[in-house]
Amino acid sequence: MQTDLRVRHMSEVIDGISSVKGYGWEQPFISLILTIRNSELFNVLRAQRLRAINYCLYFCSPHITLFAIFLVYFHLGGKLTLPLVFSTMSFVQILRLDIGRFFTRAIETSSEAYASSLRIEKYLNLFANLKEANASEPPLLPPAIVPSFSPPPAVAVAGSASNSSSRQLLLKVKNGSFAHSLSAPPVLQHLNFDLHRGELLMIIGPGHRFSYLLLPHLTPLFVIISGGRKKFSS
Amino acid sequence: VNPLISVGITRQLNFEDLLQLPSHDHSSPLISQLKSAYFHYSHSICGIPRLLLALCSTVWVQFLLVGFYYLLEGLLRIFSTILLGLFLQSLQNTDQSIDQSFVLALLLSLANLLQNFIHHVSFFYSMKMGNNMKIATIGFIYDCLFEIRGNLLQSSGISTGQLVNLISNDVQRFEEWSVVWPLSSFSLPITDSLLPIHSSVSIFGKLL
Repeated sequence: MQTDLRVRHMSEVIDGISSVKGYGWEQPFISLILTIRNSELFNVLRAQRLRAINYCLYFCSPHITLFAIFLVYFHLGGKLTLPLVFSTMSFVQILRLDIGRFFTRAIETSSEAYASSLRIEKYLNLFANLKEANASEPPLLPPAIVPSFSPPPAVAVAGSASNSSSRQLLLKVKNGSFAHSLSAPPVLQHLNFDLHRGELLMIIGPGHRFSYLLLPHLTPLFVIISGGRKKFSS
Repeated sequence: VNPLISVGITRQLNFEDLLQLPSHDHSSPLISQLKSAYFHYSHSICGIPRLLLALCSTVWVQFLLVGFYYLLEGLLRIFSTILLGLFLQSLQNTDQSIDQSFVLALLLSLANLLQNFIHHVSFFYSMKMGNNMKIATIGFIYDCLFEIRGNLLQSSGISTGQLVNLISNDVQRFEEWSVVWPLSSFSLPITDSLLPIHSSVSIFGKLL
């Protein structure tokens, strides 16, 4: 789980490295990835610690067991003979291998296989959902939004597809403005659009900076400083 | 010697020289078996995930075979330990002839040899079972992935790294599990219940 999270964040950073460099977001991303990495490392260390305890028990258990057996036997008045000692030792060695190694390994690998199969099953369900979406979609996506452009700094994008009313509404922005921080000037203003499943959104404006401000950036990285309701679904 | 090695030292091997895989170990029947079993179980039973149930029902014949070998190995281990005790007893007992000790030593050697042989056979079959489970799961994931359009996959937020993690790390767990799974199901309960009973009787039985 932790590895997945780290891999996802790393691939996002690598994909959008030009944006990260351009806006100077290196430090927040480094701290985010370090936090995830530390938590992953903590889990790995915990698993190794438990494994070390298992191995410790595995190595010392036969000697303690044999000592206890012979002590009780001797105190009950028994006589220690060579066949008795050696056969008992080999019995205990078999038990040590079975309980100390195989039994603990069985618990360990069974729980891992259980967790793995749950994870794979989650992805398989996701693939099945995507396959259903695949089947329900038309072969070519129609351009959903016709952008209308107003002079800078305000860029307004509005419009909706004629056949979009039947589709699932994913994102609705009403009079939205976006800025990198609360004190910074807004880079996008008076944004009104509805986004349905299967639609394509384009924001057109002067300068290549606006090309970075597409939908993936409607995330907490940007601060919405004015505007009405923001509704996310799915 | 492996026939591949005897051919390989004379000339370069090509694809036709490679050993034929049995038909039930081919990936396509394994994947179709796993798929049909997976869709047969609509939900998990007693908390066991669907995929695990499907995998178990795909390899259950191999599982029984491996379990049988592990059981045989466990029983041989107990048998050789009993033989060791008898052998040492016969060496200490000066009244008996030396022939009996030789017979016991021979039996002990044979039991150990057989146990080693069976251990390798059972390990081979369990690894093969784990490999089959791995191949079937990877094939299943690939099959599902190929049915989805690329742009949908990208928009769903599943990255290549996650998928690689899925088919390398997660699937590897099944292979590791397959080595101890039949052992813990067949050999351990029987040997671990027989051994303490036998050893306590043999050690403390004389005192009673």
